[in-house]
Amino acid sequence: MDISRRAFVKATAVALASAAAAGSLASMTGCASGGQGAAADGGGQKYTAVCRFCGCGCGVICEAKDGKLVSVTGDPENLSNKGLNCVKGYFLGKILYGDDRLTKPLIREDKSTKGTDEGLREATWDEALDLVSSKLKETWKADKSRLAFWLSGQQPITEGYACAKFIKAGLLSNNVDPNARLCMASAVVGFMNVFQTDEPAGCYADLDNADVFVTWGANMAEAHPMLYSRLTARKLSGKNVKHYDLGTLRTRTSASADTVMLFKPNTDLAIANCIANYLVQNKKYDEAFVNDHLQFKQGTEDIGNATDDGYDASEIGQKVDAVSNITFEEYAARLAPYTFEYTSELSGVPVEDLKALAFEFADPDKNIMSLWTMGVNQHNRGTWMNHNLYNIHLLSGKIARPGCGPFSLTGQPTACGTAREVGTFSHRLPADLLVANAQHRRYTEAIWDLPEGYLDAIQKPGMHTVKIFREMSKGNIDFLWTAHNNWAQSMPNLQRFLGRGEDKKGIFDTFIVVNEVYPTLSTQYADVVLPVALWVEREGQFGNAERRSAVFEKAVDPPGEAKWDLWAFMEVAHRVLDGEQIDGKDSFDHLFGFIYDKGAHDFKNDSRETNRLLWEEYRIFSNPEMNERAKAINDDADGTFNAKLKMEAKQLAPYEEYLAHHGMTWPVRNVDGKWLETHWRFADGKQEDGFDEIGVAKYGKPGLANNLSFYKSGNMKPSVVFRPYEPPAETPDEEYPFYFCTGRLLEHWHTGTMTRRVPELDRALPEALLNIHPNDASKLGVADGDLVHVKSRFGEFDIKASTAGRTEPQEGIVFAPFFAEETLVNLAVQDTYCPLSKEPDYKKTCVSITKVEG
Amino acid sequence: MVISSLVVETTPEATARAAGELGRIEGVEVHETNGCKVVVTVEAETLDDSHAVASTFVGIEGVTGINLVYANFEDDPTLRRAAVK
Repeated sequence: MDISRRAFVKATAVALASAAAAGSLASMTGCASGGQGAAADGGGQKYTAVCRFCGCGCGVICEAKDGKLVSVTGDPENLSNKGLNCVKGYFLGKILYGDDRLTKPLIREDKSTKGTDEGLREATWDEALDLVSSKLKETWKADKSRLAFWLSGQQPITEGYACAKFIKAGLLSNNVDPNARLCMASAVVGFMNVFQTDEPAGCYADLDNADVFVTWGANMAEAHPMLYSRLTARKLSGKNVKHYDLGTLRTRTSASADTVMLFKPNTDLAIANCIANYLVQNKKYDEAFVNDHLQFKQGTEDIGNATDDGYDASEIGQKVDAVSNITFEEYAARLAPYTFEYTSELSGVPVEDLKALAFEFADPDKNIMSLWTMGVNQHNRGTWMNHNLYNIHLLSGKIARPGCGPFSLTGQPTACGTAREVGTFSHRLPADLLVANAQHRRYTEAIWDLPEGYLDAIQKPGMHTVKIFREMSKGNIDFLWTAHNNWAQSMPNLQRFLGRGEDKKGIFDTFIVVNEVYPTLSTQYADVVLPVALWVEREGQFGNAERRSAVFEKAVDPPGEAKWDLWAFMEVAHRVLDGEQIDGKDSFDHLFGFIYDKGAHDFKNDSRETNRLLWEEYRIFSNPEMNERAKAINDDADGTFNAKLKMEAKQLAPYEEYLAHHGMTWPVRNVDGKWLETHWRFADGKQEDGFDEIGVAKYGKPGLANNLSFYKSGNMKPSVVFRPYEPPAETPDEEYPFYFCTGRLLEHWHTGTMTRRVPELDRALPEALLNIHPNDASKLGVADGDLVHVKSRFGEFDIKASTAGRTEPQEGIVFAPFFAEETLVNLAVQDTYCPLSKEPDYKKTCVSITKVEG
Repeated sequence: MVISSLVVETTPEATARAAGELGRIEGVEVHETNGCKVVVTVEAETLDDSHAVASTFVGIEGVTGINLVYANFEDDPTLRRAAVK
């Protein structure tokens, strides 16, 4: 870099940071925020994008020069982060350039080499695609219950949409699930049960206006750094802003808390009920809100645990979703046992702390924001805990207004946008629609131009994630294709799923296809590895936790022979569907002829236009007037279903709008030709101020308490569902005296596939350590740095102990992150899941710990 | 040389002191303060080095947040090697 270039770059750096800090140096140079077009000096080309890490979904501007990324800037026009990134942003560019990027297709000839670094040879794309296609077609034709796809909350929206269409309409299979099942499923079922619509009513801007923050099992400081930064900024700038941190261990997030409430595992259910009980017994709830907006229910209780393979089909397993209406008085009676004293004894949280938190919810003038993530969702009663959090916010009327609301944080950049919104779950169709609902199937058939009744073949949900891997371990899956995930490290109960038990069936016999960017543990078990584009090596879209859909533009080409995932899916799709017909027309062309020319083995248009065309079809789901047949079903024009679908509740804008606005939060409304986003759903107010004016006017009822109208909910009333305290799936005993909890830490995201390839991050956190309370370490005769053996009923692993680690567990609880494949803590983690959401409980596996001598 | 800029957030009473300490770190230059926010640039050989420098900010008393705004790595020699492969 010559002196003038260096001076220019530095001036740019200062100007951008000054602008982000609302300072006075923002005009130092003309090179400011991004968008397309050349940089001010005629150097690099700039592209809008979204960060590839974590669930925040921060906007960034990428600059490319000579086919390579040269700079990354926080995007000031993306309202999720307003120009700021966390320090992991340093490495966004670097993740593309790891030494061991996969650049050629790989094929394994000898299955006995699975689980090792050996056995994969280079192949041509044609050879790899022909092999994958023949195996998929063979399984599909023989017994399609033996095929499965495992996708991701990191898969871009249009790619996920196309995959869902191929699998659900092309293969007529529901055996597809995303890794979002491991992080968000309990939140999804909670949303659907309570509101009959998925995803939160509030937005990130609530962080800037809350008076009280309550974090429930959420280490935001490490897992959602930019959102935590907004929380701490609000704490500093606001008057008497409070933070209560609830969890089973102290984390970096506890540092900003005024009160840290450490509770015994699962008693978060009781704590929420205790707050609700206080509000109800003392008439401190919002009476007008309760009368206008709420209905009360209770459900099946004493539901046992989904540890055994037969749980879902068992008598209790079949009843877990059942609920019945109760009166407010009956709900109050169910809460009555949850006094401060009882709850304190059960949870270990002092009465005065419980009271302080309850009093906050009782104060009608306080804006309260609850934030939660894996501690609540990865819970053997995860769906119930989501219910209980909504219950206290609904009773107190603290929802869907600026600075106030329950907010479910997501674990991945597009867990909302893709996995949840486009329907890559085994029970879903796009846009919240369910395979089991006839009106939903008719609506989907209309948009995909399928004959009426065509999708009745998939009315029964397919296998959820844990079931897929359990069936594979029993030798019941012949074909598995995974993309944008690293299941061989992130799944629980790996002792079983990696075939390390006595029976080596399953993983060694299943034909496994893995789309990947780097070698991982999952590629070690793959029969075919397809090298694919990473992040801005193709165009895509993410949808984050605040309902913000944003486009990341293609900035550089993928390396070597690596290709866009969607190209590989299309190439296999047309081979597998060769000779098949839908309504007398070629199946592949019927489904994908608008984007793909199978004769030319390529897309008909460039990546931008391909994405736009897919988006415009997907957009019909939330814009029924774009399709006459869909509109009639949405309106229930002939009265067949006795209900309108109200699909406009998730309305999306034309593709170009997202590029122009650097992301928009849905529903996006067309007002006088301008597309306006919605920040607070169900809240009546001006659309241009971010309220849901159009939605309430179309389907809701104005003039109700707090100017809200929950127009998507049954009878327009969200459900307060009483859910009691029930214990963890297993509790410590003499043989397994500790709870083991796993999770994420700042430096490494999930399984470290990308972040561990950055030397500085690897140096900053080079190994996984078992955080243990000093008293427990002393009792075990374990000193810091000692190697210990951790064993559960499921599996075992060795790890170094630390009493001064990143987290500070209570006595009886230990923690270790799951990023380190050499430690592989998930060997020992239970695959017991929430019976309602089927999301595994990664937080409470009982283990023994012994020092490894010598 | 990798050039990056950050907004460092501090508690109100610590801003001036933290800005002083930041300015004494090799490769770090303080450009302005605005309320509790300090605008700095970091100049270091590689992205890894830049991250290492920025990561030390958290140890300064009164620093509550470190936000990366811009990172230019066109001259990072480790990335130049990667691109050549």
